Amino acid sequence: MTPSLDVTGRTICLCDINSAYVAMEAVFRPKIAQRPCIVLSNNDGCAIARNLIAKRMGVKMGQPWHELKGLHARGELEVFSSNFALYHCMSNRFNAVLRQHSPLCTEYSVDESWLVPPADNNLEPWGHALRADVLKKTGLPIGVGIGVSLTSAKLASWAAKTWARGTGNVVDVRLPGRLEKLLKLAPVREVWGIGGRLAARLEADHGVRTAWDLVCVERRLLRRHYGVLVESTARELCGEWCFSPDEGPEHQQQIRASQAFGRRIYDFDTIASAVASHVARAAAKLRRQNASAQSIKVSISTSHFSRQGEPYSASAGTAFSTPLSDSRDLTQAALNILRHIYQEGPAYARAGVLLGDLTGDRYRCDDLFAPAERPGSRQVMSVVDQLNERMGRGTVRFGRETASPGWEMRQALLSPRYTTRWEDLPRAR
Amino acid sequence: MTASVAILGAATPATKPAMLPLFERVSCGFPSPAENHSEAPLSLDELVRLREPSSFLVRAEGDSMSGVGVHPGDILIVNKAKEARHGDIVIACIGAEFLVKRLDLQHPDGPRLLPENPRYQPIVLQDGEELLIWGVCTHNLHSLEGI
Repeated sequence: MTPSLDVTGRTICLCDINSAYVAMEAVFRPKIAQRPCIVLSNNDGCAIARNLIAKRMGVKMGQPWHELKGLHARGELEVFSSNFALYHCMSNRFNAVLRQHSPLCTEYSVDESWLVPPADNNLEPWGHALRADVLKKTGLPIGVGIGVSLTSAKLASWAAKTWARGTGNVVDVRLPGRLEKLLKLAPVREVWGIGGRLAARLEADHGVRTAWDLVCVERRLLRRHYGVLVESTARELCGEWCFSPDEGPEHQQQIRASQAFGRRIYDFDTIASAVASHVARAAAKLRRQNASAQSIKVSISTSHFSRQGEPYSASAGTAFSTPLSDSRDLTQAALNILRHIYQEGPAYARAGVLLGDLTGDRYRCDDLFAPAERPGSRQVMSVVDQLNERMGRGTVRFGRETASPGWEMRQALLSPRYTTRWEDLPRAR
Repeated sequence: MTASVAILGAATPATKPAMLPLFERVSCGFPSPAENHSEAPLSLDELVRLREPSSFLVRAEGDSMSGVGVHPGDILIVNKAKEARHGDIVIACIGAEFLVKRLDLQHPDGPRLLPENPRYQPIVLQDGEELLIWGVCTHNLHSLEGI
């Protein structure tokens, strides 16, 4: 089928910070911008952010820290533990500048925000001015993708990053011929919501390699084989609005929260408190995208790297008759599973929680025979989420999560909290 | 799942215990003539524009700027967005170090960073060194206690 592209509809802009966490560290240590630099996950587990130089050096996303220690020791790689207090503050500053340019601004994640741009047939000059202003005021380099739907704006911002030099980090897909060219250049796995696995299926089934190939597939076929979200994605790429900024694309089919413990753990209670706090985090994310989960999976394991003791790993899951989003229900389910898979003896190094089969609350259909949702659940959870958002994660906790668990973060390379602690202010001589 | 109770954990009491405001706003008498003239209290944040996304705080160290009243431990309010002009007190970055100095853009040898204390020498860029102006200092917060 020949797709018809429409670039005359409602315009939306996605601003995202390039290599956000590294860029935020670099504001206070300008020198690292010219050196390979990464930020590690919670607990110094693996690389979760890399600057371009580190990427070119071959550091992989998710590469375990112990594989990179040599480079760091030889002074060839700058490494930071994740400093979320700093990232949160810098993210707020980024959004504050965006709001000075357009009051219609929706934060999508710590380094991405949707913005409704002014009306103009060519927004690239506006985008360049916006980019320059954010850089001047916060020191953060951003990319600006201007599209005619969320998915096309997201792809535009991918192009702005991929062809940074040619585009100056700003792409407006509405310029003549631009959208078609972009769709033909973009591999389908770069399209929002099409992960690696789905991309492989699309290629095997229909020979779909690029975003253009995707929009050429019959819509009915997409819907039948891959579901309504993939069909909507194809529509969005052609300039039709199917998603809204508040709702997110509801693409994510699962939410994972897992973490390595700072030390080996043996007892049930400590693992249970870790699992409960993972559930709390995952559930907050779930509610943020207005979704509910239809299944949950819990896994625990010993270290893959240590040779002490018997290796042990186990996971199990359960499906719900009604989609759930209340932290209390999800915690209860997770702990029931944990009781089944926990064995006394092994030195546990990691626990994880996976919320699966997410459904957007919009499409939710209740089971007549299932128990009703807890009364007031939404209100309670929304208060919990607001408090935790405003006053820091863990302000309101559920019984199982402990205040100072025995498994807290390992952060050996933490930078100062330059903007949120008096004792950590940058110093000038 | 019906009629269950979940314990949220111990709650930290708010700074003020919840009390009924018995004596606030007694509205049965003559209304206060000042009521329509209330104004927001003065705010230092506002005065120094601390809530701007481009405002940062930097702690001063050393006495190289004592001539303009910047002493060790003082807190400088820095505007990162402001374009630095000749004569401004700036936060500059040479190598890995943050410096607070007066910017001199009119010297024939190129840009210099001037201390405000005769015991220190002006800083001239060496070959290969790069000067980055990180921000312009707009205010200094100096404590007068214990002087």
